[in-house]
Amino acid sequence: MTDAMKASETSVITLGLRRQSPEKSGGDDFWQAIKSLDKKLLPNTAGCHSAKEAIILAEMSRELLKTDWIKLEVIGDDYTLQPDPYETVAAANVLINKGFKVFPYCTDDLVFCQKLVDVGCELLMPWGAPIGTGKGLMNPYALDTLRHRFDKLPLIIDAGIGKPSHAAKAMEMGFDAVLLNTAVAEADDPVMMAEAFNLAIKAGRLAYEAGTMGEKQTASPSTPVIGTPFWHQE
Amino acid sequence: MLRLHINGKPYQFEEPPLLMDALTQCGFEPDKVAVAINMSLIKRHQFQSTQLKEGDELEVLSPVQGG
Repeated sequence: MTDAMKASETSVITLGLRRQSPEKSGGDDFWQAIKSLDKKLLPNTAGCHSAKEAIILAEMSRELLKTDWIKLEVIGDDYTLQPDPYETVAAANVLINKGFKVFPYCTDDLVFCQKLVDVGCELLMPWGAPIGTGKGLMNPYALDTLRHRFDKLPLIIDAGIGKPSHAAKAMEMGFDAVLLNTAVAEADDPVMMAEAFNLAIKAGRLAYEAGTMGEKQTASPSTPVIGTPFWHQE
Repeated sequence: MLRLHINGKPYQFEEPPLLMDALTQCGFEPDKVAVAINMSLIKRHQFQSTQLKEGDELEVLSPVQGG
């Protein structure tokens, strides 16, 4: 795991909190490994189904991990792991007033995102596709709309990234970062896949900054027409 | 006899314990966990002064991997 994180050159690591089992030393190995990487931590509220649960879990994370950052996840549907917009906005409002820097997991719904911004979220984390599906960017139109409507806000694609090409596409569209886990964790070679994502993310960002060409409906020769050999006037 | 739940499991104590003592007796490492009692955060500096009561529901959590 730590080798994959190093290969990815990630700057932020997400993690969760779960019930500790004293007889299994409670994940201490994981915690020691994470601390050794000296990266910025982004604890999540994964598994919460209400604002109340998410708020207490965020407070526990801050107490243990000494960070105000919280990836806010409030699940509304257990089959799609789609976030509950009402509970997410309610939790974000409370947590921001308690001094948290809230990274809200949301869908690509424009109004849901606007409500999060209205309560003080300074960035958004729309899904590309449902968590763990690896389907990539399922609704590029909606994501592009978010990018243009929130042009000054950091936007991070969270969830659904399955391949490096998905990450490159997101970065080409102007998103500021991607957040992923399963695509690397479930690869045959997680370290090699982490490096592949590293390169794809850098390539996508460079392409965005370079400015991609506009699409055209008709073909256009890239070699000059003037001086074409073998051509002669009838 | 005092009965309470820690992470959903029932525990019994002869006398009402302090949170710090209960955690240690049950095998937890207090400096590596976050604790909530009845859905309220207990800060680490409160572990030594928090008296547990009959029926308390404790959540004792530690970090795990996850995106």
